Amino acid sequence: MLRKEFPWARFYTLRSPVQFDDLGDVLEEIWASHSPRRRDDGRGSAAQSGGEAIIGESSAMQSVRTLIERVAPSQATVLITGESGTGKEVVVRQIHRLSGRKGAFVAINCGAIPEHLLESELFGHERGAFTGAVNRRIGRFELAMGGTIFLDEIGDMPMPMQVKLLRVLQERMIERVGGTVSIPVDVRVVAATHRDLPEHVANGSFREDLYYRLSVFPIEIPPLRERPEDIAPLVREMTERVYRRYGVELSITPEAMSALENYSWPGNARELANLIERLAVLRPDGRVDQDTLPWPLRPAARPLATNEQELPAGEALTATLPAGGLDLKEYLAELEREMIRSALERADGVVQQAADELGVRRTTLVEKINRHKLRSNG
Amino acid sequence: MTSSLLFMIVDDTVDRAENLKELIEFMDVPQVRVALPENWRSRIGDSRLAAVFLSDDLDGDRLRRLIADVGEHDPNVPIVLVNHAERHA
Repeated sequence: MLRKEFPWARFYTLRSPVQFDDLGDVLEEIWASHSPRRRDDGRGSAAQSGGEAIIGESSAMQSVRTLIERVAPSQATVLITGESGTGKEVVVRQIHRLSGRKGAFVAINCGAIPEHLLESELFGHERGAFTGAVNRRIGRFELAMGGTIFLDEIGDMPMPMQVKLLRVLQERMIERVGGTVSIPVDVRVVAATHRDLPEHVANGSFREDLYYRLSVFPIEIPPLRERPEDIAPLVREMTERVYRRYGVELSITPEAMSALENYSWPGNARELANLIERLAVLRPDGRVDQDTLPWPLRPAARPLATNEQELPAGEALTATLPAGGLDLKEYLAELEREMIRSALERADGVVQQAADELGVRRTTLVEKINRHKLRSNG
Repeated sequence: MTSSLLFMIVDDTVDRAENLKELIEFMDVPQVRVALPENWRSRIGDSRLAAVFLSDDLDGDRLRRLIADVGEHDPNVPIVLVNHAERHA
C-alpha cells in the first residue's frame, strides 16, 4: 500500500520485537545502497576489500595491475569480474584515479536498489514524474559527468533496465524519468559482477548485446585461495591499517600465518580484513597465535565434530541427504544449536569466549542462545 | 569536517525507540538518534541521514506525512518500517 503511494521511497521492514539477524540484514542492505563515498564517511574502509592499493605479489595480481595501467587512460568500458570480496571496487577506484578524468567517481549497486527506483537513481527524474517526485532529481550518470560511474553487481540488473542502459552506452545520452530532453553524458563506465555473465547470457537473463558492450576490456580478479602468496602482504597492509585505527600492533606467529595461508577464504580479502580487524579489537595485547584464530582457521578444525563421532583433522565436510529428504531449515537450526552448545561447553559457559570460537559477535551469540533456549554461566 | 551518517529513529514511544537505538548501536553503527515525529528534522543537525526508522503504528496520516517529509528532505534516504502490528492485533 505505502509502496504504491510512495513509489520513490526505498522501504525496508522489520518485525517487532526486532531480531539481531533481521536488523543486521537490513543494515547491511542500507550500507550497501549508499555510495562508497558515503560508506567511507560512516564506518571507514577496513572491512572493505583490502584497502585502496592493489595489494599482491602473485603473478595474477601483477597482471591485474598491468591491465589497470593500460586501460585507465583510455575511454574503454571495463567489466571487472571476481568473487565477492576480491576487491573489485578497489580496482575500479584505481582505474578512475589513473584515468586523469576530472569528474566525480560515482558508484551504484544495481542489485541493492529496488527495480522501480533504479531508472530514477541512474538517470534522475523531473518534478512530477510520478507521485512523490516533488523535486527534480539528478541521477548518478549526471553526477558522474566528466568522471566515472561504477555499476556494481551489473549481473543483478533487471532486464528492462538492461535495455535502457544499452541505449545509453550506444548513444551516450540519457533522459530523466518524466523528461523530454536528451542530455549528452561524458562518463566512463566501469561495471562489476561476481556472477558468471556468459552463463546468464546463455540462459537468457542477461542481454548478449549489453554483455559485449560492457566487456570491451575485461579484468578478472582471481579468488584469494588461488593466490596464497598474496595473503602475507595483505595481512601486513591490514595490520598497519588497524594499528593506525586502534593503536594495536598485531604480532602474528609464523604458525598462525601459515594457518591463514592454508585457509580457503570463501569471503576473500574482505573476510581477511574483517578477521584482522576483529583480532585487533579482541586482542589488545596484539599477540595472534594459532589458538587465537577462530575455529575454521585452526589446522585441527573439525567440521561437524560431535562427541560421538569426530572427523579426522582436515577431512572435508561431507553430508548425505536422507532418502526421504529433510527439512533443511530445521536441520540447520539443530546444527547451529549443537555448535553453540559445544562452544559454550568448551568455554565453560563464558559467552565471549564461545563467541570467539564461533567467529560471531557476543551480542549475536546472546541472541542465538536466547532463541535456542540455551543457558550459559557467562 | 565531513559530516557523518546518521540513523534516525522516529517514534512517539520513547522507550521503544531507545530499545531499538541500543540494538542498532550493538551492530556497530556509530551514530543513532531518537526523535519525536514533531521534531525529527531539527535533530538531524550537521549529519547526513543514512536511514529513518518509523513505527508503522503511528496513525495513518502521521505516518504518511512523515514519509512525505523524508522524501522532501532526501528521497534517497531508506525508510525502515518497524512493524508492531502483531502487538496490536
